[in-house]
Amino acid sequence: MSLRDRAAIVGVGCSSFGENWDQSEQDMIVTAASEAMQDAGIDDPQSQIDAIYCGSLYTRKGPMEVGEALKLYKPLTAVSNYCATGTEAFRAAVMAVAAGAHDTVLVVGYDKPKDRGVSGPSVNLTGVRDLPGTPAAWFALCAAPYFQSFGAGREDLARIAVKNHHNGCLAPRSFLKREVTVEEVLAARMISWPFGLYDCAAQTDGAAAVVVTRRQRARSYESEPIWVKAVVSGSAPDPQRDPDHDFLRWKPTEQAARQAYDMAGISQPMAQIDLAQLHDCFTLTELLSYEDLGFCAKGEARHLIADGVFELTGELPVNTDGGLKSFGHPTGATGVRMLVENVLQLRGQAERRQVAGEPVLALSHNIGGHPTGCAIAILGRE
Amino acid sequence: MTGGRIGIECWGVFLPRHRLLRGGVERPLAGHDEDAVTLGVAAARDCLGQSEAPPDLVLFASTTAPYAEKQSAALVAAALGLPADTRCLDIAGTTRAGTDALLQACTAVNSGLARRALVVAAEVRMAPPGSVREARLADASVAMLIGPQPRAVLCSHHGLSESVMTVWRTPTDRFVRSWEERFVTLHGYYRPLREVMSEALAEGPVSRLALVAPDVRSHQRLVASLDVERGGVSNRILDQVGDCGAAQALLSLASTLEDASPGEELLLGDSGDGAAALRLHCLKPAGFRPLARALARPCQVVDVDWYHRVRELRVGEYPPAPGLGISATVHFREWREELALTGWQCCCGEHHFPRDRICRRCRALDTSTPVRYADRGGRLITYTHDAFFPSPQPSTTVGVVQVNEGARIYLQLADCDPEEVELDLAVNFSFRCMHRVGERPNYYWKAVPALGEEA
Repeated sequence: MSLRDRAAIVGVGCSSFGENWDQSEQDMIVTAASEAMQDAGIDDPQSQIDAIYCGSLYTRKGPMEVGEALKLYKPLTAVSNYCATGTEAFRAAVMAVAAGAHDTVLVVGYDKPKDRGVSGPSVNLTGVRDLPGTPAAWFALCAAPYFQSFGAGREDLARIAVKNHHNGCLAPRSFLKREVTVEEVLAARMISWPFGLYDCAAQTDGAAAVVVTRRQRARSYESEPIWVKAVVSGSAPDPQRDPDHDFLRWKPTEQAARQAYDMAGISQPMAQIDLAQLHDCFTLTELLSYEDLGFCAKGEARHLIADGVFELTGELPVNTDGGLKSFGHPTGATGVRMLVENVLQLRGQAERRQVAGEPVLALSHNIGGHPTGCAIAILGRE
Repeated sequence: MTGGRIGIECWGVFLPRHRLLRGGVERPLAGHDEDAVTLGVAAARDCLGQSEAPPDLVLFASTTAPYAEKQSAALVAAALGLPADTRCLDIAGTTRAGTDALLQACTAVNSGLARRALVVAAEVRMAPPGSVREARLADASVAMLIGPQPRAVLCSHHGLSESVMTVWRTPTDRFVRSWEERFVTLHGYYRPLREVMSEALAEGPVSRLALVAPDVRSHQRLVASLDVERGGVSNRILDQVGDCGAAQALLSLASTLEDASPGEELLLGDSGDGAAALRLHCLKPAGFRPLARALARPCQVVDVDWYHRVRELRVGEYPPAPGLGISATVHFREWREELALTGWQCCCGEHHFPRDRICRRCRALDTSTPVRYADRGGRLITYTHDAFFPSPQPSTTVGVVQVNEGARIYLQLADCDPEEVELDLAVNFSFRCMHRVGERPNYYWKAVPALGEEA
């Protein structure tokens, strides 16, 4: 069943992302969810919200964290798919309202990695295989083959970091608000070649929420709801074991993109999509996504980067709020935070970072695991 | 002693890649991912590479076995992929363990208890930092295959046992302890060894001598006191390696065998809680030179700071909190895959690692059979250098390796500089200690650049 135009987002909310030492999971959940319900004009959640979809990868107590925080005792569904968790929680919510199981539901994505006492991702030595088990090492595995095949290099990656740092300076709730230069990016200490410190997303706490309702209810909340044009999930073999992988792409994105464009009726993504939030856990992940999403041919990304195509003023602005690079990556929150940004952009409410030309179609993208999974959402105005 | 023609069929040698200048010699020292077992596995693989016939008995000789309770020989046998009915035995407690193991192996084969016995002697000994003894110590391993088609036969043996407090370690001591040096040299080395060597020489002259010693001077003094031709005496191990404990005697013997001609009489002398002397007769020329090859391999010169970091002798951060470590029940299910680097091949030809019940190619269920990958080599599909992963020697190079005629495996690389890592690099596999989570060594395999030195 196509999910196109069967559900709409009628409310968005987001906490500040950062080292939220003084806030618990529940504090951030209340901030994001209250803002989303207020945005939707929901004043009686007990009667107006039918169910809650929770996305968290590092949850301590499970989805009751959300129900208890909001004192909203509704059917709870916990969703997890690595770094795609946020978009996956949204997908579950859209399917529920499209199927008619619920009328209006709340999606809450959140995570609080900073309570774990490590500055990066935790290094978990529970086995002897699969080490080093650090995301930077997993996502760096495409670098050497890609650089050799297409003549790209660390400078091309650095331009992505510079762009996202710039956009992050314009987003009130971002964590990093600091411009950087290509030279600074290249000189930073190495994390996992070719990723220096500035090629990596920050590690932060955060929560984001959206209110989803079914088609027939949408206009009762908003005169111009933001419609779900597509929401899909892609999956591919573990690239570390896949005997056919060329390490020039991430297959889950390619698979999800085909499904998403089919559902949304998009045949020329570069021409039809007005802006995108892409999963820039590392700069190379964003670069590969340009190609894996069909914005350009394989190997062409560096030319488009050099031409500024993906900058805020470019032909297809990417990561208009600064992305994971500036917001950090509280895993479950990230995909929902991207939906919030796309809704604000489509409504023309993105203030200093608003893209020009009254955008109609906006894409958001998460990829996670080794990576093995990808979720894509495409939102649009009527 | 020996009625039949039982003796040494072939041997293998391993010297760790890192060299530290100690006492005027660049001595090989084990890195953070190496211990007596991993060194032993490397020498054993070098040895078995010369032989078609596998051993049915494995003896592991060392005073630095990584476990006080848990058999090193069984770990070595598992890493070698030997069948489950292989008998295993550890010989420990004295630096004479290598020679004792060789003697026991010959006895076992001679008595029919075993068809072929693999003797593995390996040592990673530490002396107090900055001590005179520390400057002499080196890490090394040697393996010898004992069987009925020998290049050198064992003719006789002489031994004596004493319990004199010369050098010792209790189970909680990290460093070798010893009494006053002149006493140790006289009563822990010179006197007992001279006694057994003289007994052995009374049987007739020998043309070559393989003799352990704590240092070159003691070696020279003992040789001078014996009635032997100087031409057949070599200092090579002390000059180029060092005092490598239980591995020293068999390493000296390997050195001697590599130069010996058919018809020559050889004498091996070892010491530790007494002494032992073994007379051997050379039947065939070696035809291969594992020690010479090991000495010729590229090495990496390191400094004292490196040594202190990899042996955790430097005061640094608080150590990580102890944990239960790797689940023993998970390890129980996976140990053959992990210790022997065993992959799987489906009846359709597709390879898997680790085991998949459903084939990714033909989707058939439970149709895979195990295949040992450890000796196949492979090539590097892609890589990165991870500086974030905690290691005494960051960065950690990791990559996806295509096993030759096998599956793809995500593996760490060892014994290489980041600069020499490139796509399509040919690699071999090396058994290593991955980490000490759970306060015990946890073993798996790493990829090392192939040196293109096929025997």
